[in-house]
Amino acid sequence: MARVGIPHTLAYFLYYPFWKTFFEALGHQVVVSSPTTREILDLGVEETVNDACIPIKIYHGHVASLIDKVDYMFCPRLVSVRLHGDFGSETFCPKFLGLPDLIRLTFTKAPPIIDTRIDLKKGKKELESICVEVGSRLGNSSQESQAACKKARQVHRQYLALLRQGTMPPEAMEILLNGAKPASREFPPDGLSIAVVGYPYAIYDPYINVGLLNMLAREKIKIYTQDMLSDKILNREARELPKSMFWYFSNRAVYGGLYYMKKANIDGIIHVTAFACGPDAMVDRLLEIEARRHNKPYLSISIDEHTGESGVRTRIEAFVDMLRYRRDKA
Amino acid sequence: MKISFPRMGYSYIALKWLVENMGHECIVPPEPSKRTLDLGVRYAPEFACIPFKILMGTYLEVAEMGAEIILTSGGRGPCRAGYYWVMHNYLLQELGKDVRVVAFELPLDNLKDFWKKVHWIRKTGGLSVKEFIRVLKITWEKLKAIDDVEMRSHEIRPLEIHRGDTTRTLWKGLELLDQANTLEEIEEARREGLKMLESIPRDDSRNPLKIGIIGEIYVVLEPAANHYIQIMLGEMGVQTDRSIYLSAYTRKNTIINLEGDIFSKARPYLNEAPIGGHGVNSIGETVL
Ligand code: SF4
Repeated sequence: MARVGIPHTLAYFLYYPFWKTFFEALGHQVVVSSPTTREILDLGVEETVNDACIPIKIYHGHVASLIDKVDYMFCPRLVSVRLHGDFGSETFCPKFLGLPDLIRLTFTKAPPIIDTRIDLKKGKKELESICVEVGSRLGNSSQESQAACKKARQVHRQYLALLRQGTMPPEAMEILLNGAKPASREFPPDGLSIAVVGYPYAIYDPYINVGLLNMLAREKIKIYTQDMLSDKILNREARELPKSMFWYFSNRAVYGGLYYMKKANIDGIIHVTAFACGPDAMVDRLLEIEARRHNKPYLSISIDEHTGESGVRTRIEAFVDMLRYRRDKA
Repeated sequence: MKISFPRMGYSYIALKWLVENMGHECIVPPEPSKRTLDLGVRYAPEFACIPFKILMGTYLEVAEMGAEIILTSGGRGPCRAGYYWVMHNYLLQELGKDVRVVAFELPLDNLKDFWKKVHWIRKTGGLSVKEFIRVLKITWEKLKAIDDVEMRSHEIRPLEIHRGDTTRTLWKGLELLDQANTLEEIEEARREGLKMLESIPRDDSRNPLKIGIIGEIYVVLEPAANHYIQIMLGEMGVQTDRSIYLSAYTRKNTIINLEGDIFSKARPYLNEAPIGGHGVNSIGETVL
């Protein structure tokens, strides 16, 4: 039995249930780092170059916090999780592509890194062979890995179903993995609905976005994110663009934003963007322009290690006030 | 139609010929200046990279000059450059400019779209398929000849006895190439250009330092974007060679991929290729 470390960021928010199930089915122990904290951020900032985007810094912090606690670090190379994207080549931001190399070169004392290449567009059986490869690094047979893969897939499907019902990832994981009861929430009939789009590691990490979702929840606002939409819906939006971007998470944010812009029941769009993020320079301007064309209020919140809670709160409050005013006037 | 394109080094000479001989009017993009960059900075997103901003500025300038269509290339990522044209279009529209950016994606990626655009350009210019192919061929030769002459100039510049000779001669050679209209004339201009470069008084006893220039394609190719680094180094007595020439780039990337070698050299430093912006080529070619 090995202890496998999974950093609590980046792909975690969409794929943790899959890999947790997989590793546990193989009889290993999964150690996940704690949600982002000040210490984790500081650890990350120490280890990374100054102009890296904040999610990459945080990722390094999570890895650093796991180093002494695990036998393997799970840091797969995400190349594509689409069977066929735009031009069949949709991939991830360059920083994702180079991540295992960065980690290896930064942490010379790290335990072995499982940096299996995940490139699902290569074929239908790809996920299974990836699982077999990951399993073999941990000493598991192909049969074991295949069975574990099957189980993990089931859990992943249930997880996606929960997200589609409007559950946020942390809660969906609690329900699925720990048998928690779904919390019931009441929304006032005349309450606002806001779509929050952006990278999962930006919108679901309350530390980096200084509790943005909670601020909205406290105002009894109904929150929608791109992860509540099915691939079918997202792909439909893709067809309306002259061309899609090349980065999976960016595209999801863009498609999600475009979808919600056209919905009458959505009062406004918030885009959470990472400071110094290469792709976001495009994503943000595109969404801003489209929102204006669709006459939908749009707020862009840029986050970095110096983002202060009060600053974000002020902007959110002003935005929400404006939405309420707009609704009352209508 | 009034057609323009991004300015990348001296390639505009060949592209101008192409546009004019396809039966369109060419708006030659001005060399990027302080104003170009200022315009770009003003209207591009803050975190867009410098090439995006310079191009944005250039597009606004050619729009002022009356361009209706800007031809450029697309790309498949993961670098942002392949998405530039979409964003540039959005931004130009927002500014109410009557100009459209039309991008050619790699034929490898979307053959149909590629042909559709090619035919559209050809038909609107009123050329027959045969003439069109002839024009393309000549443009290609012109592009290669321009690169040849420029390449040689970087070898000669560090040896020149009178500072500035090479750059002046290079321009003369480029003017000859500019005037050439047939394959024969291009070949002649190329030879003449090289001959003129050879006859520059020079000091062969110098043993110039050799520096390789690598980096992101646009910054490497457009002298105004890299502060004329090759000319500057040359006049300081340094021989430069750069990793990217437009004709070599298109030769490699359009139809087949001959870059396997470069990837393998970069592998010890970076496991995933490509990461975009010529990152891999840059690492690999430094090693080579
Ligand atoms: S997409 Fe942006 S925020 Fe995410 S890793 Fe890349 S640069 Fe960083």
